[in-house]
Amino acid sequence: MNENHTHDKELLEKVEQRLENGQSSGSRLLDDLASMRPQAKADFQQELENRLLASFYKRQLETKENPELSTLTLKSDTKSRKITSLPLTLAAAITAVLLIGSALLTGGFPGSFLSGGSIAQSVTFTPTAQPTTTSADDLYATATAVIVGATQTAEAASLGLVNDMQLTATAVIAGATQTVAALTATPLPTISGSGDVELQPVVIALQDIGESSTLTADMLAVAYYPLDIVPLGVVSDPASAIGMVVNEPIARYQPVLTSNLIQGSPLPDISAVIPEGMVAVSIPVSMLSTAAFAIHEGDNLNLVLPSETIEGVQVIYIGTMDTTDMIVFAMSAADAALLTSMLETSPSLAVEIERQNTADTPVIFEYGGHVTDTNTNAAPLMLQAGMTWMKLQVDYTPGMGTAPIALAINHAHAYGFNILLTIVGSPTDMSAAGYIEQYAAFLGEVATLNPDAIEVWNEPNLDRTWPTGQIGGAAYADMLRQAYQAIKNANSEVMVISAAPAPTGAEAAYPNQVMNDDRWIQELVDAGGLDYMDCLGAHYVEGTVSPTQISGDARDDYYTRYLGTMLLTYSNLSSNIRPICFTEFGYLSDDGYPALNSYFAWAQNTTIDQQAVWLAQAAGFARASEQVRLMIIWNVDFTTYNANDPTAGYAIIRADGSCPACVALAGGTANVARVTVNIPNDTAAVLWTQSEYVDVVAPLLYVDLTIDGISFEFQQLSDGAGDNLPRLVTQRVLSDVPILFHEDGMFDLILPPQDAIIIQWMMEAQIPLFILPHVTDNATQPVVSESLSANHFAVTIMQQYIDTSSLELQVGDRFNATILMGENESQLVYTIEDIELLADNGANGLQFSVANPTDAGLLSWVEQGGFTVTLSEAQP
Amino acid sequence: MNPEDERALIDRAKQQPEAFRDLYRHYFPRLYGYVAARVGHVPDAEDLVSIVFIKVVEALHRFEYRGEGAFAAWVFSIAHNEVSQFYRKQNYTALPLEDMADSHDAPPDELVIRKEQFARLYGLIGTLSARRQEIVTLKFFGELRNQEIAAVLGLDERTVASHLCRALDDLQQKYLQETEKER
Repeated sequence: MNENHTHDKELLEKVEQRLENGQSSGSRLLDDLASMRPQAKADFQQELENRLLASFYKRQLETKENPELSTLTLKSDTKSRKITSLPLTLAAAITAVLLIGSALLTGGFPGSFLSGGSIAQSVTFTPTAQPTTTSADDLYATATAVIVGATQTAEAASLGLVNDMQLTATAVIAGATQTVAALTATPLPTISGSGDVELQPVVIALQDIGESSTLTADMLAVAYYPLDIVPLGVVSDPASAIGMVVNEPIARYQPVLTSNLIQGSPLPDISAVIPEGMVAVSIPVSMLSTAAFAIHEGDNLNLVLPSETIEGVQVIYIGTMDTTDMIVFAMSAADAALLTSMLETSPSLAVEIERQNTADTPVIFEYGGHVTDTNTNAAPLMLQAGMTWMKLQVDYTPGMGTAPIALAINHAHAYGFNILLTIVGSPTDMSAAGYIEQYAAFLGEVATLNPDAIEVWNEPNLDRTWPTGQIGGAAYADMLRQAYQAIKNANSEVMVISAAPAPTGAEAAYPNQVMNDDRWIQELVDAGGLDYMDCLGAHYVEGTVSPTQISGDARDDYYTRYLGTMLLTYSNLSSNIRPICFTEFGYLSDDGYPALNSYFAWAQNTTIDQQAVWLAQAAGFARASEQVRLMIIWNVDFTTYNANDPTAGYAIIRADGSCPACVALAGGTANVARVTVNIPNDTAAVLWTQSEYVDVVAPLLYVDLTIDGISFEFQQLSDGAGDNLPRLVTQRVLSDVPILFHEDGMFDLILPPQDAIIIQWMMEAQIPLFILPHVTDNATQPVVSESLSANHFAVTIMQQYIDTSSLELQVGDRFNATILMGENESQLVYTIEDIELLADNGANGLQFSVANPTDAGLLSWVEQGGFTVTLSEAQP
Repeated sequence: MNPEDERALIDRAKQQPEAFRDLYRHYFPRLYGYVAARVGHVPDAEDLVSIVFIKVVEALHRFEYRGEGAFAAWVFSIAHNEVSQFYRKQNYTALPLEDMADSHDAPPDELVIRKEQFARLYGLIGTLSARRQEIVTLKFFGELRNQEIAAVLGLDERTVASHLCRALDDLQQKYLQETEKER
């Protein structure tokens, strides 16, 4: 035993001695460490305990997993009370009543209306088969009593159905004389007991009630609260709530407040659902036309008028008003005024509805893993890896049931994951009449089970899953349309992902059996498929190099080899209108398994460590791209490995049970440490600044013909005009980045890892960065026109740097400014949209109003950079 | 709590609220200590601890006992993940000391001393590598065994022990230096 080993052993023993036995370790450090554990506030621990117990009860109520909940006997430690001849239906109601009550007794539900002072012990239940006669000797509860009776029960009582009920023991006061209340045929009494607590009826929600719902009797129950804890403004009589419309969501078991309710009417009172600051405009359905996609309440759409497009209107009501079928939209007051005026002046106006381009909507990135079973032992490891999604593939056969799918969804949700279901049928079944309709209906049925996302089919560009000779994006678009409508009609919350095609360039070698994924997607887009998806499905499973590389694959530089070029291709094909969901994303490694056969030999050099690091880098890359919504790692826990199917080689949980990728993902994407990127100052197009904080404008995925090693079709990716100008496909702006300058002419950017990956990737690809001084709201402007709007920046540019393209400049006019930068002024095109000419100061330049601080910073650097700004008229 | 007792308690806690409450009370101080030490800010710590326990309630019925330490490792894995997600969302590395010592019920003069000690210790822990910070925090504030820490962090138990010893040696040296300075 060497010295170090002995030292370590003794040290660890001291630690255990201190932590496990509470004895002094003899080391001040260890003793101090052990005594310095942060302690919670006592009331927080108690409040959380109460909330958790409420959740515990609630969960049991919902799942009815606890056999003890079927019937009950109440135990009492004090006096005997009788519950006689309790009808079974009522017994069930009372069961729920007391469970809810007990949850309240133990502290209430989240956002509890019970204060901490009324808390005591819990209620215990033991089952009896038939509670026809139940002794309240068994009644045992210790806190403030709460009695809940379902409204149906009260109604039944008032109808005389339970007149024989002699319910006598339902309220028990902790540590005090029992308060016994009699619930008689009078449905809603204020109960006064002989003890010291008076109870008041409070109408509560028996289920989660969504905003703008009309209340019905089966949504409500009555709870009896001690007067001193009754929330202000509660509704006491369900009759006064039934038929009313809820103006904000009410969670299950929460009291209904008068302020929650607005008057319902035969015409919808939509005032409750109009977003703040918006105005509602109703349009008869007869005046509307769409590209045949389904419209749902909550959709965000554009209204295309003959001379205008009103963007981003929200559908808040679809239905009949005054016998006319209408759709009600919420929009800004200005848009509403415009539209109303046009509707009034042109009664025959045709309004076309189009889906809103979501390209400008921030894409929230999440990742997860494809599992063999959602009830998987891998769940903790997945959580550790920062995953929030599970994916399961379901093989559809006509006539199948949904029970196993419901179970799978429940398992995933119980572990805290969202779930994506990929549902795919067999090509041999597809020839049957009505197959696609049945499939779509099945997806609608599945949607009612509340999965979080559904991928409609899998790899339909191969004859493995689509009939030979019939493969094509247009054919698939028809299936997608029907599936989308069925899913959204059933549950509009479910994200619909189009089937990811297999990435391949093999169609020439396998005609009728394979269609290249890029061509297949183009067909899908051309057939209007983007209207029927929330996310464009993609697979990336053939990488052999880091996700930050765009060259170096030993096979060739076909675009499917690299993450960057895949992303670029797919985002271009879809015009970046929909985010991308990688429903399979993995790296194959035969580490720990027999060597891959020749078909998969391309992956033979990928180590398990590379798999781990690359997956973590890819997650960072995908997140930073702001184009990827979802990345599902293919796969988590598959174990099949043979010459024809090395699926386990993709698995992140390896044959020995280890999961290096889990560790890397946890560290790589959750790591908060910032890293330093050292950049030579002569990197092309870097602008000097002496600021401490800068904005970095990084033209991510900038296609430049000078980049070596990319061989995909530029013409196909261009805007179709046949030019070869480089394009700014997606821009990444890193704002407020600390910068450190060095005497040797280098400087450091201090960045989060995922941004650092992007910057390093760009440097490798020789893509220029723009380092601009960070403009803050406090930036001083020399002479600012009074017409500068709030939150805008005034930028002055000398006339010689402006190319007006023969436009006449008028103060108040709006323009788009295109800045050409780089050595020959065609290296990079940067467009700033919608700047307003504030003032023409002659020799002192033109002053513009710019909304975005980074744009303002860039524009203010035009002179220093020697760039030219070309102005063009902004679209009104 | 010995492993047999804990297993029995977990089994009962899947059905019985009283058992769940006992389990909660057993783990709360440790889990709170770990989370609070990691995020360094009381409201954030309270939010995260609430999230962790709610996830435990929701998933407890699925938990399968797989030997000593499995439950602690599971609970702290959820906490570790939540803390990681928190940092990712917050996008900062700082380990603020903000009023973490305030919650201790002590007289004002003792509280001042305690705050100083607290600040010093946390400052020293902050000088360790991220991995070692995590291990020391899980060890002393989460009171996890090395085997459990290994499970939470996906490491080998010996690696955890080695990291812990090196971290404590490092801290010891710095602690002594600071004590010398005070003199």
